[in-house]
Amino acid sequence: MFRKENLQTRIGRAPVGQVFLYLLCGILGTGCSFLSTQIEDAGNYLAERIGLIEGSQDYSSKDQIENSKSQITPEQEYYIGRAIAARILARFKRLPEEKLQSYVEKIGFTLAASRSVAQPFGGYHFLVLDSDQLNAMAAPGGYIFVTTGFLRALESEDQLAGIVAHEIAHVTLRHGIRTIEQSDDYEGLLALGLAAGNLNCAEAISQATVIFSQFVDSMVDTLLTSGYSQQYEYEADAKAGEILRDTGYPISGIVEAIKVMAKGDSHQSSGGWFDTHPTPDDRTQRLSSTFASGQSEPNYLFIKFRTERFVAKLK
Amino acid sequence: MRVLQTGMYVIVKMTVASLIILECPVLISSAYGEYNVGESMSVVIREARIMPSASHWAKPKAVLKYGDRVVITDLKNAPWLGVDTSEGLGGFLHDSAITNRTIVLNANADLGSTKIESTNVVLAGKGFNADVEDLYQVQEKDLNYQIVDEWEKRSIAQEVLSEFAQAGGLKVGE
Repeated sequence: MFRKENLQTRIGRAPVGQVFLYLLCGILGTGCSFLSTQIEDAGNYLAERIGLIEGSQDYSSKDQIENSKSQITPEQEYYIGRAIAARILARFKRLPEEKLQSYVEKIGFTLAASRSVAQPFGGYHFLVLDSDQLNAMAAPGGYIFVTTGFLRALESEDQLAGIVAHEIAHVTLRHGIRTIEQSDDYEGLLALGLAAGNLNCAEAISQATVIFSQFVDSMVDTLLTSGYSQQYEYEADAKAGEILRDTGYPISGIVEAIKVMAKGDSHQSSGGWFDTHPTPDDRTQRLSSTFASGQSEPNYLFIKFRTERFVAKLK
Repeated sequence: MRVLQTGMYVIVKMTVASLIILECPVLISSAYGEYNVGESMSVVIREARIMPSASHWAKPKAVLKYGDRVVITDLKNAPWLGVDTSEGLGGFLHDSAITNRTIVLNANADLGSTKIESTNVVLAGKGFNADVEDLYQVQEKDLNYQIVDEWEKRSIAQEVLSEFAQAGGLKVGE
């Protein structure tokens, strides 16, 4: 705990919130087999080394929280992603049929090998859900879902690649984690985390799980109900265009997929693919103008081949 | 006279531009985003493959683990960075696989005389970790982590993926 006046001189150099989150992390991460005093010593040692702890002080300043803005690490994002994936799989069944699952994975891994794609902590994972709902979504940490309803609504592999590239883009751009960090709850939860730094091991894990649960709930709601912000959808479209270009799929794939989805039944859909904002027309216009030049001539033989293998896999 | 002046102006501008382009490779390549040649970095993902070229489409030279250290040697192929491992092996890593923050794998580790600033340290396995996940599973009994675990183990052999991509006329090795 700190007194506000001792910390204000250090705000520019070492945000207090980050230190306390590290203390929390130190307390949580060494496992309950350590005595709580040893864990606290480790955290205090770190904080003392960077000159932010001078004995026992009280911390109560909201300014310190606002200045902390600590980032969720890729490893923590991985655990959040696993929890979201588990929540989604509690709600939807995975497709047992291997042929279509393997096909979607091949497209996904091919796109994920693009130079513009960031690598999440545990790598990318692509899963087909057996559902008539028209949905495709990406959880933080690289867990990407596509429903069979969505696959049946598409017309070609190039369109499917456009959809998957868009979801990979959400992961690469860390939209899930950025959404969490920008939420109104984030600062309050961070303060909760700071307070947990004073608890013993089991209590600290319990407190961290409360925060964890909040983050997961928030993200599941984003993925299944509200969708990402308009800005994030534009960003994902643009990044998807880069990924498609790098991989050799035509940009027309994602443009056509958006148009196909625009005709779809919105009652069967959820998430960002069917929200009216941004509008499909706006998205397709932006994509078409952004990638108007620099594309190679389409090879119609390969387009035909890819479409035929798409149709064969969906039979 | 005016034509001559315009011509001289263009020549001077092109010369200056050429000098900038020729002289600045070191400047351009020495700092990409927040990285610099010679900077020591930590692997921030579970496994990072050191590739022989700036591409995922090759057999990796080595696989580094979370927390392993590398030194940046080249920035010309950003976002792929030329790196040297602690064993002296050279290769390429995608910049998303590394961070300029130090990964501390054990919170009780002796930090020695290294000057550590709070913004430069990540305590691995801290915060949201396996312990939190275990408790979360206990609290949320309808969750299906078993499928997530099985799903994570799935992979496709590089040669199978290459064949799929090439058959479809897609770019392999770029």
